[in-house]
Amino acid sequence: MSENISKQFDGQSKDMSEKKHILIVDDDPVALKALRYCLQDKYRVSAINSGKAAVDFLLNFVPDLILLDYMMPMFNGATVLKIIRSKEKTKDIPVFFLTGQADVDTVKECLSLHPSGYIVKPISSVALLEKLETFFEEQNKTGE
Amino acid sequence: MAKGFQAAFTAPEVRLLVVDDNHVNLKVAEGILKAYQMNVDTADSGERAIEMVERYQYDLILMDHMMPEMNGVDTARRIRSMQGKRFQEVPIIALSADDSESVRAMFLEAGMNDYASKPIGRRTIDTVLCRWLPKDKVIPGGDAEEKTETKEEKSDQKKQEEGSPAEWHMEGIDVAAGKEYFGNDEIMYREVLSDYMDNIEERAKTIEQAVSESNIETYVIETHSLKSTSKSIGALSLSQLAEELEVCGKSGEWETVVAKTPVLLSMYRGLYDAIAPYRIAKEEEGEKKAFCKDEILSLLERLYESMEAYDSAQGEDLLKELSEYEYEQKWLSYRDKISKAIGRFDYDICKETIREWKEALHGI
Repeated sequence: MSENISKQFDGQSKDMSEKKHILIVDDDPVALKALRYCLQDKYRVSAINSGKAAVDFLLNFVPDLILLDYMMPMFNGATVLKIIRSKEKTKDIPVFFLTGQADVDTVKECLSLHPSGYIVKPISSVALLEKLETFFEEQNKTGE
Repeated sequence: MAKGFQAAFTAPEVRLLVVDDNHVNLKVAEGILKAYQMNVDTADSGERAIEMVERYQYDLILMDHMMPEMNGVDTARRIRSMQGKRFQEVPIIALSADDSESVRAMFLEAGMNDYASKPIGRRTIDTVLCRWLPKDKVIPGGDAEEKTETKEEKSDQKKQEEGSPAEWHMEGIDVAAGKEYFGNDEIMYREVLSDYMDNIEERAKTIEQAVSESNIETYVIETHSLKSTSKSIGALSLSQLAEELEVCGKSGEWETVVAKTPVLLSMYRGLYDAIAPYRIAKEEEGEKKAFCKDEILSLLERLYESMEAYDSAQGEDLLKELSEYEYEQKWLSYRDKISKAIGRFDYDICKETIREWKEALHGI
């Protein structure tokens, strides 16, 4: 069992399992869990509760996509995105911002940082899965 | 779960088109619409929708927003630009998970008439149909004697959707709305409700403290996240108030914040008792295995590995296994600290506690 775990989570050999790896970063544990529940059947999911911890995580892992909460204390989404984009190893990872409902200004602010997309929270499991699926399909078509 | 749903009316003369690139969604919509005995067509792309609209006269179109190539907005624009009165008149309803004002404005600007939040469930469809179907094609159906639904009928219907009505009454929570966010997966919904409930007191205190210390930044962040998580479980009034107060916080209306936060917190804390009866039982309540040092050390080893791999789901499973054992008081504090850390996705604290616990266990 423990061998399985270490195999499955060997950050370097990108995929022993075929599942895409998604990192979720949100300071709200309830939101993290809800998102994880939605995604865990289809994806390999890592859930991280702060921007700082996400930066640490990315030293060892290169996920296929990051869902990044925009509004977090200390290291907010914008700061984390800048760090991600500034490093060779992580600069090409697609990042979707997670933003709150009706935050038109926040959405505008988010978009000005050119993320790969944004998701308004809360999002239904069906819509979230669909959005990611569409994104990965598009990515496949364009050859990454 | 979906047994026994009866539509409050039928509309056998209606022809309706559902457009969505996701076949599962099309199936779900078809399944729901069957109860109304309408003629339902489906299209899995914007292009296909346009072909169908040219060929058939529809009474209503349900149009997904996010589709590859030609999205729902572009498709609606194309339909509206076609020659002929029927293309201008057919109601087009956007289906979207994103109902922010700017997106809604975009739908209207594209000539769409209304929007419905995804995922679409019976209630959403029922609301859309009641609002947009031509009244002369609607026949009151089932046992309903009157065309307009009474409040009681609506609530009966809602109860049917929920499966076991007695089990699902939580003051302040719209269960159907919450379940929809989790694709009507009851287990997932209950898991999230349980987490939500476990976090209430701590987060309520954080909000309280932010007010007493006039810490606007924390206040805005906390109300912002309360707004989203509350909405996702169906605590809609609380979510609205949180949103209102988040805006007040942002715009510096601190007096309103001070005045209204107690109301917010009282609603928030009130949900604890509402959710409690439906909380997923903690493992500790079952029968316990005898304490076994080696087995516990081995579980801790695996838990450490899963924390190194940032695998919180695996961590939760291992924590459940750890909780099956009987502990002396001195070990319980380690386990509880680990449980809390996993609940907060705090991998470092969890690892640190595992190290401490292992060390203490080796000492016996």
